[in-house]
Amino acid sequence: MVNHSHDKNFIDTNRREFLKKAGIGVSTIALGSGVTLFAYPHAAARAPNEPASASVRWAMLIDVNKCTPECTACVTACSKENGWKPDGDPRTDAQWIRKLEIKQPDIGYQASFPMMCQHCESPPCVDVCPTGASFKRADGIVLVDKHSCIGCRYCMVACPYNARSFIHEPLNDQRAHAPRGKGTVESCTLCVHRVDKGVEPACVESCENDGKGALIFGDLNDENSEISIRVAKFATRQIREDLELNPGVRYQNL
Amino acid sequence: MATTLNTIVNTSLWSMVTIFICLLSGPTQSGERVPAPIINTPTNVEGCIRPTEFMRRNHMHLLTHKRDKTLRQGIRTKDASLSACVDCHADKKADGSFIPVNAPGQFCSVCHEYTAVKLDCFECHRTTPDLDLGTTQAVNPQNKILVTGDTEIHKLLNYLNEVQ
Repeated sequence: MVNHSHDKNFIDTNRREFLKKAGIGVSTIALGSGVTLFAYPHAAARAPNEPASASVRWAMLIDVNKCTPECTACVTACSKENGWKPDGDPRTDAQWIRKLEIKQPDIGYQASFPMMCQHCESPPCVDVCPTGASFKRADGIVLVDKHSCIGCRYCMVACPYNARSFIHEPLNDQRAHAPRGKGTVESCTLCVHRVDKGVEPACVESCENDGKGALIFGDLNDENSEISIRVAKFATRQIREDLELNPGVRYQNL
Repeated sequence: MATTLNTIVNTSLWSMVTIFICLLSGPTQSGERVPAPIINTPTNVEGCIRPTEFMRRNHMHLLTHKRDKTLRQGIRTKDASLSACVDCHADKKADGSFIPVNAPGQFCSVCHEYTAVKLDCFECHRTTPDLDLGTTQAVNPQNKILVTGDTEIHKLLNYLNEVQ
């Protein structure tokens, strides 16, 4: 099941990251004691006038063992936070986040987990976008700039996770922090408006409060973050890891 | 054939003369012109982020500049944020509910209709304050925007002032 050759690559990357960080650590110490010249960003808020930094890689870890089929706390929270509603037609439904049920018929293994934009390091949606509307922010969050989206939907075709959807009808009463409109493509924003304030995404918060505590959010570049510790300690998987897109969303116990 | 052509030339010549006379006499009949819009500014607003004259001409530059900063770089200062505009400039009905800023006769639409400029912002953006957020300007008047420091917006403003 697990693609071992890819896992090897993954370990190599992490080692390289570790060596980089170790190097920075040494230089910090050498520059003077008691003076912090370089602080690893974490979930704490940046100043509002400070741009997103490439030294952060926002990511999510989903523990599939904790996630249960009947619980939809994450989907409900996302819908409320970002102001989208299911329209009842699977062909045109918003795809910000949805619950998937999988079953392996020969052995009877079943699992349930949320699927959303995987915030790839090499996002195919960004590759194919003809106007540059689909883009990846410095901190790894993949977004749609609706000011330049022409609604061609190439990104929807390119996304292997079916994580994007198109808005077919005029809308009003959007949330102030989540503009959405007819003729543009949309997807999970990793609650970028919350992340910028140092708050975790709505789905993660609701999974902790009303759900099963299956989701955690954090910075993969911060070796002391819970997500980094868990990713280093336990075997985790990326969906369609054969495509080598290095998604920021990882699944544990899948 | 030549006669017909002469007639056409004559006719068009006379029409041009008529139009010219109309143009000359036009400004004197000012009652015929479209009246200047009456801008509906809610009275609870104490001053904008910039002087009114500046905002009338340049609000679109501020908004375009800010939208790219916010969306692409995650810079979320209150200065020149569209939702902050809506928070202040949305008018209320008698029952206390907000009227969309792009509704006919409201703050945004009244000038956009007069100048015949299409208002695209609200194809996607919310047209009334988002009360669920709890801390909007309309709810909390203490939340007044302070303009300080040498920000990107200031650089843009200086640039725009120089160009004019």
